[in-house]
Amino acid sequence: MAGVLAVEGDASIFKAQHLALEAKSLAKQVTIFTHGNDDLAAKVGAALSRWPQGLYTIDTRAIKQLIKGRSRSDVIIEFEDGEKTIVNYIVHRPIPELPGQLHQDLALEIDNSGIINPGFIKVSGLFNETSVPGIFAVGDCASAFKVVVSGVNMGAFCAAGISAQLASESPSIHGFSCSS
Amino acid sequence: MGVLQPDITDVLIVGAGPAGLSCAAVLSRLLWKTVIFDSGVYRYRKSKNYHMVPAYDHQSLLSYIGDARSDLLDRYDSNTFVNATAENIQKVADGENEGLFKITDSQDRSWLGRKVVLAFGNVEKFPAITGYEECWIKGM
Repeated sequence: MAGVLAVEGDASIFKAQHLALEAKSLAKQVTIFTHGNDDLAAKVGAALSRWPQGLYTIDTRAIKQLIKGRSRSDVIIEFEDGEKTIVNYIVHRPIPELPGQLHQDLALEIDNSGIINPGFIKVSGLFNETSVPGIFAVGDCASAFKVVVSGVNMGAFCAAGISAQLASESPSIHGFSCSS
Repeated sequence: MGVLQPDITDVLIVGAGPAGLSCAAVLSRLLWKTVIFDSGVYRYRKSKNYHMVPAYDHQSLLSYIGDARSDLLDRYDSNTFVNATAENIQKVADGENEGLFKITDSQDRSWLGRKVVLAFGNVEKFPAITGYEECWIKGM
C-alpha cells in the first residue's frame, strides 16, 4: 500500500489528486492521508470516486510521527490516537526554497505565479537573465521543474547569452595573436 | 568586505551542480574564464540511485557532477573552483571596478566578475511532522 501525504505543499486538491493518480501505477492500494484536514479529504474523495472501489482510501487522522520501517522503503505512520499503520512508501514532496541571501542582496524578482513549486528566481528569454541585467539564474533555483536535464539545458543556453554579452563589451583578453 | 582577489573573472558561477557545471562547460568552449563557488552541500547527496539523467541511470548524482567537474578541470585551465559558500553579492557602485559584481565568500574573500550565474539550487523545507526527515528518500 502506498501512502500519499497530503500535507503542507501537497495539501491541495490539485496536488493530492495528482500524486494519488501517479501512485496507482506503483501500488494496488493507495491511501491519502490528510492529517486532520476534513475539507481536503472530502474533495479528494469526491475527485477519486470514479476509480474502482478499494483502490483509494482517505484517512483524515492527525499524524503524530513517521518512523522508518525495517523492510525496504516501509514507513510506519503513528497517529495522535495511538494507532499505527504501515505503508510501503510515502508519496510527498517537501517545499523547495531558495538557500542563502544572494537573491535578496540583489533584490531579484521572484516568480510566484504558478501553482507548481512557486518561489523561484524569475528569469526571462532564452538566456535566463534575471530582473537585474548581468545576473543570470539557472537550474532548480530558477525553475518550477527541478530536474537535472532542465538545469543542464538552462546552464548551456545561459552561457551562450553571457558569451554574446561579454563579446560586445570586452576587448580580446586571452592573448591570441592575429597576424593582421 | 574580505580579502579582494586581484583578478577580474568573466563569469562568477554560484553553485557546482548540474546547471552551474553545464554553464561552465559551454563558457570553457567559448574561452571565457569562470570562478565556480562550491558550497559542498548537495541536496541529493543521500540519494544513492538517481534516474532520468541519460547515461547515468541508477547512479548517484554525485558521480555525474564529479565527472562533469573533471571534464572542466582536465581539458581547460579557465575554470577555478572555490570550495566556499558565496554569502553576499553587490554591484560595485563606483571606483575603478564600477559596474562589476563582487561576491564575498564564507572564507572572507571577495571576488570580482563581469557577469554572474546563480545556480545554487534549492533546499528542502520539510513538513513539521516528527520523523519526516528520517524517512525522506529512504521511504519516500
